[in-house]
Amino acid sequence: MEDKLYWYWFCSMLGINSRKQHQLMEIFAHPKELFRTSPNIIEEKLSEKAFQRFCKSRSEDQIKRQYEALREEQIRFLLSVEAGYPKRLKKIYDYPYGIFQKGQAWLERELVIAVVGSRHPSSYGLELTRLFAGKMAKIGIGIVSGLAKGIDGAAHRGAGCERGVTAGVLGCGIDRIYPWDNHQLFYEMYENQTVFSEYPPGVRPDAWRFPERNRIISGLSDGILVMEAEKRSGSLITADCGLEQNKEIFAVPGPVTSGNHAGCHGLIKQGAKLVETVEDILSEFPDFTKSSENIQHFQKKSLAKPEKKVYDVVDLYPRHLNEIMNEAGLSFGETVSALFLLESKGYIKQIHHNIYIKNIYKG
Amino acid sequence: MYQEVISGIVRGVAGQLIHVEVEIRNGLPYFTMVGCLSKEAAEAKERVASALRSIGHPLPSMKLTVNLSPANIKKKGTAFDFPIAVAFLACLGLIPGSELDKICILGELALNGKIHGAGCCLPIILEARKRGIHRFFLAAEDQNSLEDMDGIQIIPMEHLSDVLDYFHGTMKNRTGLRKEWVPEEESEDFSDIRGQQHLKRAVEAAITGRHHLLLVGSPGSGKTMAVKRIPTILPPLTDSQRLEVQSIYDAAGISRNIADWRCPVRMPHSSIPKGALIGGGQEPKAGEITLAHHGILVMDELMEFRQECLEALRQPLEEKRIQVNRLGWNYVFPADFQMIGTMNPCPCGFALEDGRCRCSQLKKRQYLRKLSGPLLDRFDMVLTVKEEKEPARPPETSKEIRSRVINNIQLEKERLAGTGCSFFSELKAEDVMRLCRPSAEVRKLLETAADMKKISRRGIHKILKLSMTLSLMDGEDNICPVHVLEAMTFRNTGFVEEVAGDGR
Repeated sequence: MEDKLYWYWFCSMLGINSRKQHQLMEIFAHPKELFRTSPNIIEEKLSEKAFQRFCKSRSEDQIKRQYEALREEQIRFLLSVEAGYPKRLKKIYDYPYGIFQKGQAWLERELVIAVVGSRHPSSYGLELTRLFAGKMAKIGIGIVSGLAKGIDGAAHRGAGCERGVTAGVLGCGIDRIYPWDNHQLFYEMYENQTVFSEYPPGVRPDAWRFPERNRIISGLSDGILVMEAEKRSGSLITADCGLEQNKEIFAVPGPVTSGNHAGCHGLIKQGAKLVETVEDILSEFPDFTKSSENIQHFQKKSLAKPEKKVYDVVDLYPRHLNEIMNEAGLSFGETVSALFLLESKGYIKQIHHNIYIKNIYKG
Repeated sequence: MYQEVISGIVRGVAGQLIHVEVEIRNGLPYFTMVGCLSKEAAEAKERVASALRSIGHPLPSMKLTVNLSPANIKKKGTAFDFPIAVAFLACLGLIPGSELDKICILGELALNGKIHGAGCCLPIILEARKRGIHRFFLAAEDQNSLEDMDGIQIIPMEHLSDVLDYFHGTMKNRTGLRKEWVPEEESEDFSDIRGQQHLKRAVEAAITGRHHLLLVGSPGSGKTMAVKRIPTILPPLTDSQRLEVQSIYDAAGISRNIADWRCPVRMPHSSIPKGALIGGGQEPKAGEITLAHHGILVMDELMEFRQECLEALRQPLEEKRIQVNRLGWNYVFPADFQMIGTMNPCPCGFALEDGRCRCSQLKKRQYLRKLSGPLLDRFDMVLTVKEEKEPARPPETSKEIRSRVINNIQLEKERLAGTGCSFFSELKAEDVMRLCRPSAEVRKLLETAADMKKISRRGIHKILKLSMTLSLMDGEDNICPVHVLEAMTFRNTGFVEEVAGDGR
């Protein structure tokens, strides 16, 4: 049996986590040794379930069959010693020995940033995420995230729109689409981008796997940008992993009145860098040489009177026509006309019927 | 001896005349009734016999036959007691039989000869009037649900002996007994709603132009509050509409004062079965949509209704009537109603609130699947409602709004003279273009909006209809661009995609 098949057996068929894998490898040095060890020696080293799996799975036929099935599903199994394995990931202390990859090969970039955040973000968080991810992808920064709902999805989409490079890391089996809401994004990612998972096909998205997957997200990147996180958010776990792995942490602030951003503010208090523009991120990486001239700041625009009034009222937090009308102090007709003009020029967006937000892409 | 008297029953929501035939002939004493009678109708035998005995004219000991014709229709109810008794009186020669063929008689008898109301007289009276019968003998009790109508003479009676008095010319005149009807005070008022200018304007436009309205919003955003106050701004019914509505209510057995000029507003609960909504039963009865004829059907929490109920509304919304088929017989009920629906944007209800919705897209899609394209298309106005914190200008009272609505509806009728419609929403596509003559400016705006995918080409007519209503409300003769823009804020067919949409 080939070397790689032993690794495949070791990484996926025993169902043991990566810390345990590292412990075993300290003893056995190569899965081939473990494979050939008699069960009674290994029994005390493994949990009961893992031991049962160990006994049952040691059939070469079965291993070969499963490995062949991967190819049919267009899944690649990368070993840490192989060239396709992400370089940055190998540097973390509990790197996975093997990782599954679906979609295109991961193109190493000079700079890779992980963009993470809440699964139920505000429009403010969503819009900024798409903007930041898009801008970073445009200047050649790789974007890594977790393919979850909300901020993660927006980060992948933002980078995808600008034809950048982005990778998603799953907390379930590589063949699974979870959450289903993002299924379209998954197919787009398979087509043009990379999807990673430490877990073999068929593994369910158990809650405890996601913190494990977060260490891979941070491990793949040079810095972690937390867009919007509540006080006890999974994104903070990613940031913690990043700290352990000696990565840069960035956080985008929000209004102090809404609890949605409390996690980000906490990170800033602890010393994470406050990010207003993409430049704030780039300045931490002086080696990254790409020019950043076309990064814009948020500016005031010169608009006619009623439009100006309305535009000033519209925010990144969605507002209803009624509120806009009241706050701008205009009549119904004036407000409606101004909103239509602004929308047709692209300054504002209607995210739901009669509910508007600023369009930050139109700088 | 043979005598025929005219009476009637209600089938569905319309009346049908029934000929009551009585024959007395020699033979063994025997009383039989035929003609497809229900239990209570067949029991008339005993009531009639006792009532006639009580006024001193007992039935003779002869062979008596009563037939209700047409004999193939199931006859329910007790309204035949009185006509049968009158027919016997004529047979016995106590009243002139020749006069009876122009009189329709309805009423239930007590054993002592007193006449009780039979209910549901109006549909029969309206039907009889069509057939050229103008005189009616009714129970005095039923008079409250009737009023003076053109070409109809109602003679209220309290006792069977009144019939004899009537033909002898000695009966007391009983007209003028009716009480005046005063509408109950409305405890709700539009001034209770603070702010929400947009919603209020939408409701007013919906009533003025009779546009079907769908409100989408989070729980507590004020949808139901606004809908509950709609009755306070409705225009009164016209006289002919009022009679039509009254006749439907009589047929359905729901009490309603005939002087009640208010538009019916029906608010069925969302658990309603299909039959109760569109009309049904073995002998079909009017459903909620027919009860909302000339009025409003409010579907609060539209998404909680059964799918079959929602789909069943499509035909009546288009044709303004509903056909209920039973083996061998089709019933057509009028159903010219305005539909006002409210719903949440997603199962949790907070899809419009920023970052509060926890529904998966699958859940949202499943939820919105009930709202089929054709049904959504029937709504001229679909708008989102959001809770508003700051109160705005001092709110108007319902009274002010109502007087404006009445005025505008009058103007609307004048403007639509010659099209056969009385509301902008009823206009046909070709009439829309002819009537509103969009200016170059408006055309350009519509083009831009269509390019921005804010409206579909198909929806342009609906937008124009709505714009006409809005321009009328603003006192303008022609539609201006601002009216079209406003109409667009009231109409949104894309909200299903928005709510369930990808990419956000």
